[in-house]
Amino acid sequence: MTLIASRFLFGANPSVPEAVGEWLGVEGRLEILVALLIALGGWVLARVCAGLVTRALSGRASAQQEMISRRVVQYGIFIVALISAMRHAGLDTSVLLGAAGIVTVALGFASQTSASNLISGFFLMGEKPFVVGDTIIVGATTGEVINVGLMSAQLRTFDNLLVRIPNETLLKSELTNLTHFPIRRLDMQLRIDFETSLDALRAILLRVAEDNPICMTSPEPLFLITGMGESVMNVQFSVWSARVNFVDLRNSMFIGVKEALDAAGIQLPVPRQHLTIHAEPQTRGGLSEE
Amino acid sequence: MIRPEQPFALFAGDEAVFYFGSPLWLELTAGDPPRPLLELPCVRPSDTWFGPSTREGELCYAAQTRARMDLEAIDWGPARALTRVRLINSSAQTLHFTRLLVPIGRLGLFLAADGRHWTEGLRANVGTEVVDCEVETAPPEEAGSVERVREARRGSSGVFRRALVALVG
Repeated sequence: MTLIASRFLFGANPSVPEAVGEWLGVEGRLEILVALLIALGGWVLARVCAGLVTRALSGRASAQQEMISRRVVQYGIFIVALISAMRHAGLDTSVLLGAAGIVTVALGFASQTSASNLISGFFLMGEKPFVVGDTIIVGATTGEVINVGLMSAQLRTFDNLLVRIPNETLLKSELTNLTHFPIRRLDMQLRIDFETSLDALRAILLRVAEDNPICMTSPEPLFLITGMGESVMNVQFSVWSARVNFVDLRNSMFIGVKEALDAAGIQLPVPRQHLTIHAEPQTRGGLSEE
Repeated sequence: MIRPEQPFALFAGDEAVFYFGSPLWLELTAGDPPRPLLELPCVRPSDTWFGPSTREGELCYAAQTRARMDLEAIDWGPARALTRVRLINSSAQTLHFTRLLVPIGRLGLFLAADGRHWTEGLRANVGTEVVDCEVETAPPEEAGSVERVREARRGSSGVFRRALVALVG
């Protein structure tokens, strides 16, 4: 129906009966058959070429680049084949293309969000702040990237939920990639009594780090006094581990530090305040008179 | 990665020999031909990072034993393999040696008559810009008569190069 209507609208035939008669003729049926074959051949060729592109890019490009390249090749070839088939069937494609331009403008206004996500997707693809398999933090969401599409990225959170984040959000908001570098640092914030010897504390913490096999010897652990509070000293002890061992490091280091401090008799203090009460003098004039 | 107990300097044209022990791995195999079922380290060495920055480098194990220049000073045991390293400073400057990345996976394992395990020796020639690290064909003569127990895990013996940056500094 679409072909017939197009032929009627854009062709040279003056009336409906003549146009229909021509299309139902032997010559017309052959043209349609050939056009269908061209379109079908184009689709098969597009699939084959897309497969070749996938094979050529396999291992060389990211999953996202591979997917986009495959689609560009596949749809590009198919559209060319489709236009060729329409021309063969006698349709005036230049008019169709002109109409397509107008439709594109209308669609553009109607789909600003989608277009924004699409363009953001291209920027993200160029910038490449993360790849599939990375663990990222976006806003309040932390999860593993399982898919990066043209419009959005999909994360799997640690409690196994699927979170879809639009590309525009990814581009605009602060994004932290937890798995970009091969090693990570754990910063332990400790609050220590003023009575505790800092040298002794430093030695204890370094011993805990040395005894922990997943705590790296290089870069060396860092002992840092970050400040003096009202009732405690604030100490930061930073240790490094391989990225894959980070969770184990966090648990084992806190357990090790707690046990070592307990063994050394060092208590982690609770907030406290000293209250000094001065007794009132008893020789106030008014009271003594009573 | 091994470190000397205290950093030392090697003058231009000078050379030094030192030994270190690295923990063996226990492998459980079954069947004929033997198929590996399980691998366990006799001692779990600490992880460490060998590289110019926290972005570039290589994840490796840190040697628990410090490098010794006296063979008798090494606390060797049946679960350790000894390696001799000959460090040659062929550059025109004093080499301040602080650490060395040993390609332990490229070394084979030998059993000496006295029960000690040895690997092939290593020869690191520090030039002006690069380090040529060569795996020798056999354990050093100090090992006495040895019998090969295991081939190297990775690759074969030969000459390979590593950046000087991490070695000196």
